[in-house]
Amino acid sequence: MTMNHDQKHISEDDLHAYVDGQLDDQRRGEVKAFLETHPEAAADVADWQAQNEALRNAFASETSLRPEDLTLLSAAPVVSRTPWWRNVAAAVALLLLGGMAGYGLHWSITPVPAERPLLAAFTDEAADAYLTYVSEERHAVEVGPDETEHLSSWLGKRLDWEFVIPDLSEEGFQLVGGRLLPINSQPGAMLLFEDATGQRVSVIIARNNGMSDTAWQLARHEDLGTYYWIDGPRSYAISGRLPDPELRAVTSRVYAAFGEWPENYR
Amino acid sequence: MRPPPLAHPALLMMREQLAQHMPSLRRYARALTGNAPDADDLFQDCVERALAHEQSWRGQNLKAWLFTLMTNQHRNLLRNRRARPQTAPMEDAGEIADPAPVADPLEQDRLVRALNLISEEGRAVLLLVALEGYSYAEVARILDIPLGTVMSRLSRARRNLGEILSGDNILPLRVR
Repeated sequence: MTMNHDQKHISEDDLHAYVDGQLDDQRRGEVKAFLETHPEAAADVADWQAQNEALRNAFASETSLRPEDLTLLSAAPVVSRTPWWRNVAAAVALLLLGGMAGYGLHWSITPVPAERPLLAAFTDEAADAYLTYVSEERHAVEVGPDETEHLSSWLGKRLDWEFVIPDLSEEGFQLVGGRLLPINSQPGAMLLFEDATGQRVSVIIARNNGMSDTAWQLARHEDLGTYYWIDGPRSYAISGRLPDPELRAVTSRVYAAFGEWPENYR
Repeated sequence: MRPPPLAHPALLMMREQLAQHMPSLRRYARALTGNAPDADDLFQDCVERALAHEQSWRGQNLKAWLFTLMTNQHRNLLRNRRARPQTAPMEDAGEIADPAPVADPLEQDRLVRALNLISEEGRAVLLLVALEGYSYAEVARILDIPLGTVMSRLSRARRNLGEILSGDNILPLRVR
């Protein structure tokens, strides 16, 4: 706004900004005082306020989504050479919308979820899973490493997501196996890797239950580190008793394996 | 090893975001065009054009961009129409000829018609401010015009709309 902040001078721009609620408290007070002694300006302001309200009322009924609107989104082809995450994003969006449509489309305001507790619960569950299963020599996993493909397709079915198990051999880790486990009362997958010294790292893939996406972050419980991030429909956690550079290297590899990131966002 | 990503993958969910902005877009289309069939066309064109640019979207402010897109499309539409002779559909002519009294149910209709009589430029500014709640600076960005132009268009739009509404300049359209 090119508003003149001179106490005495109130411009027409100030009057508009007053009507549209675009003034700071002090200026609003000044305009209000000005209007008390300037009936013509006050009449304009009253007029414009009435216009604003009439406009909002006139088109209030338009602010609802129609069922056919969603078909516009689903009908558009997803362009080839599309990275997987776009397909996933689109599919999830439509899935979400389908669900919303069932609720009469009353969703113009998206509630902000209680992010912190959800995230904290997720990392805690990931760390707990690590502690529970990693120390077990024999029964930590349900499918052995020889059945890698079977493992990924079996876990993938439970997650509704076909994924390829990341290769961590460059970081010195081999797949030990994986298992299904409940994360937040929903099926999640845990993959377990081990290095030559017997050090283990778990990779957990869970369904995202309403958390906003995050870049990756580190949570530490004493010597146990957990890197976690949320990406659209899924949340991920990498846990291990490793010094940070190593755990970070593993995380980076997993992160890369599960998504192609567009240049801008790297 | 790749550096740690700073990505915000939420930015990638363009279709989901687009869906969330659809109600606002519909409302803007309805207010800009002043009638339901044109609003439907404008809305659908806008969504289709947005999806055509899906690949090049880099997480910019999607909503503002959609409003830019729709405003431009509407301007082009009007330009093309002016090039062609206008004919009014039969049912519209009947509506205009109907000497209905100006009662409350018609107030809304009056406003929509009055809105249609002010300049297209002013209408876009007024709607973005009054309906969508955009700041003047944001409107300047969306319409790609200087802030001073936003203010002068807003002023003219409000004064013209006020004159039309108070002067009942719509009523002469009725057949006496």
